[in-house]
Amino acid sequence: MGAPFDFSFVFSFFPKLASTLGITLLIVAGSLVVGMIVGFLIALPRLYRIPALRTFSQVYVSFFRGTPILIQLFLFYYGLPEILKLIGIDMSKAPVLVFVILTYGLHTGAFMSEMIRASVMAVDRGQLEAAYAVGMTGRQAFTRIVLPQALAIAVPVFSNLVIALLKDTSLAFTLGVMEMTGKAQTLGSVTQHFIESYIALALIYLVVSFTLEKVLKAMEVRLMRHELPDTPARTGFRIHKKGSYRRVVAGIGTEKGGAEL
Amino acid sequence: MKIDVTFIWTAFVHLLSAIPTTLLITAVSVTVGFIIGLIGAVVRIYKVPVLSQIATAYVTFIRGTPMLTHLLLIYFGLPVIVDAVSAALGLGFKSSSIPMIGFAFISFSITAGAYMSEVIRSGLLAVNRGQLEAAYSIGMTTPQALRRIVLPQALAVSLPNLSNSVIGMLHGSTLAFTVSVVDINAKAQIVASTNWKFFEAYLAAAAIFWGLTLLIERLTALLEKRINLYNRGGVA
Repeated sequence: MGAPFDFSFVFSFFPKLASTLGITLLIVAGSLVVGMIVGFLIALPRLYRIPALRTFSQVYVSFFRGTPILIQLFLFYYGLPEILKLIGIDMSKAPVLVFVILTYGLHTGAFMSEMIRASVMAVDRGQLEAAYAVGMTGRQAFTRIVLPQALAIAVPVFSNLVIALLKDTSLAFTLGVMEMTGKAQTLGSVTQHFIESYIALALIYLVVSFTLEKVLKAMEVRLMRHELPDTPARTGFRIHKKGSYRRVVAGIGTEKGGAEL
Repeated sequence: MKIDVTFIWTAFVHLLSAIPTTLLITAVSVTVGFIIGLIGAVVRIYKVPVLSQIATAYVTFIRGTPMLTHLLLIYFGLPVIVDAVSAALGLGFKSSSIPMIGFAFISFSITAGAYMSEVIRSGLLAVNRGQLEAAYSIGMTTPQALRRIVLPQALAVSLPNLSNSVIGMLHGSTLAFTVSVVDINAKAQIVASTNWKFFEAYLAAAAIFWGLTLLIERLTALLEKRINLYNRGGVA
């Protein structure tokens, strides 16, 4: 199959593939933004136990976690224009990238909502009560006390989601988006050096996901400062040590897979 | 164009015939992946000199790259290796006689192995060290202690994560269409291409996957209940 293996092609493919890295990262960033918004909207009804909306949230999360992303991609690519036509929006001219970002956004949103829900619930209720006790308003208590702690809990899960999303974007080529995997396929068929092109592709993905992991790890360390071993200046004020957040995080099932209806 | 509800049902019936292929791919990759994962996890926990570094590199590489690239690398790379080896050894084996589904089996097993190795490793680490010491103290050998004492507990702990891996592989099996294996996803494409009703066909496919996922989850919940019977705490 194809031309004989030649390792020098791997290197020559690097810059060509890296030129499409931007599109891959654009899909990741775009879907993260969409996913964050959707995730919040979906998580709120379940956090505040709003009757009918809560059931909708549950079904939404279950659907997106219970079906493969590839099926969702095709479903939205073919289905969304028809549904939007019913309310008078014409999507037939919209670029494919819009559908791709929207689908990945909705998909990630389901996982984000689980992450948000789990991390807000993981903050000790006493923290909120203590905030009220010192006279904070509901909003102050949320932004100053609950949010920073929930954020710290959410980061490891978030990091997993981002990396999973990066890997999932490799499926966008099925709809004809020229991101890295699509480019690798084209390069392969043009030069008949498929193996070299896919090796280069895999290496780039590896480097990007490794970098993302390291960056998010640094962020986690930064947010978890209050959980780090006490510095002498702070020990005096500590009454007792709380259990590590890591244990809480381990219990949050926001890995890929699982519908939980 | 309107949504053709009756075609959803027609597509659904057509897709049912592809369920065994999807389940077969999932079952094979999960089973082989479990064996690879078990070996990888034990090797890394016991820090076997060379093997543990290989296992770490393998897990890092697989988890850092998309499943699709594994499939494509195997699909294009394996025939070259197989042909070279068979020519060197003078065997009459040709890579073209490997069935398409074989590539899916091999590649997905490799993918599943890396993810399962992490799941099993965290399960093994969750077992109290005292359990192993107790097993030694009543005279068990290491393999005995691992098989009879540590593994059953580790698997019980990692059951929810294992179920997630199984579901992940079920969803991942949709990639098999890239090497022209007719699974549910490919079947939906085939069914739809006759009359261009892609949306309806994929709705049916999504319904089937959703159902299968929920089924796996229910079964895991039952299994978890059964497996954790010993662990009810309290006295008697």
